[in-house]
Amino acid sequence: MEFTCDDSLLQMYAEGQLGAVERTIMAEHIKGCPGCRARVVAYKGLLWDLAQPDPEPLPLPPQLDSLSDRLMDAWTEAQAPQTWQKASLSWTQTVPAVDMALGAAGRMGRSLPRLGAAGLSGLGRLLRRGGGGR
Amino acid sequence: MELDEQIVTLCQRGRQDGFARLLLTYQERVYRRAYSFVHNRDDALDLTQEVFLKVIRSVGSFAAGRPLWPWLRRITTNVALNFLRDRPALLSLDGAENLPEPAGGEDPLDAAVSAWTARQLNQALANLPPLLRMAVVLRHHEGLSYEEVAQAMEVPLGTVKTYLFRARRALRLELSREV
Ligand SMILES: [Zn+2]
Repeated sequence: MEFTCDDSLLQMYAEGQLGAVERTIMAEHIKGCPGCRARVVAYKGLLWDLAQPDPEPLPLPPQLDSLSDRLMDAWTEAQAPQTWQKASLSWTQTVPAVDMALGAAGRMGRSLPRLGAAGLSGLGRLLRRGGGGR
Repeated sequence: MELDEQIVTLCQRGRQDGFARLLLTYQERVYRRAYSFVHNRDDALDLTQEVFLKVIRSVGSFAAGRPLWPWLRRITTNVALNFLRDRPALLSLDGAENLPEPAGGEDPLDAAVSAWTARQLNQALANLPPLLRMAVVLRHHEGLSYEEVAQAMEVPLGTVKTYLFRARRALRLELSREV
């Protein structure tokens, strides 16, 4: 086992993270070391696959919809003080309202009636399906 | 970007349709990212809720015109890290990454074909200790640099390298076993 058979260096090489000198040394080494050559190929394949979009994206749980509703309630509660207090009201002063709204939603469980559905069902269902990322 | 700016502007005016758009555009993405960190549906739902509660509290001071996702990703990462810190057992780095190299080395011809499936890769990711998986997700799914991953995870650069080296070695070994 030589210095150049180091697994971390092989990963950096496969990832293109080595400086010019180290890269040259590693390239020379790999020519004569089948084990390292195989590992570099495996790491390149792994890095490539990790960067691809997931062909089998995670199924979304139905609870995300009721979570949307509770969050809309929390938003509405958080805005309430601003409608009748001074416009200069700082955001931190609305925090208790957020906590109260979520506390109430939590106590009522996940069977809350759909609120804010106007905003969600219309423009929204379209957009939701578009969201990407894995 | 234009959509983000609209969303932020509407939210800062206290408009319900602004926050509805924000949820519809980003809730799924936040959930998926949270899930990739904790690999548990209920925990990912809780984290998603926490992220958007923080958003409600702080979107007022967000600079309109900046892209929303990097901000949401940072909040999601922070919330997930706090979740993990409350559960020391999950912070352990021990696990699949301690696999030994196959005895006698790998056959270069076998290893040259990366024939694992996406499902096998996802399973191997799921088997990683959470902190190692988080480093891989931020580096390779989110495309952050090593330095950005270090910032996001609030650890030194050397630690991130260690996480990534151990994680990718574990993935390679686990996948080469299955091929
Ligand atoms: Zn070698």
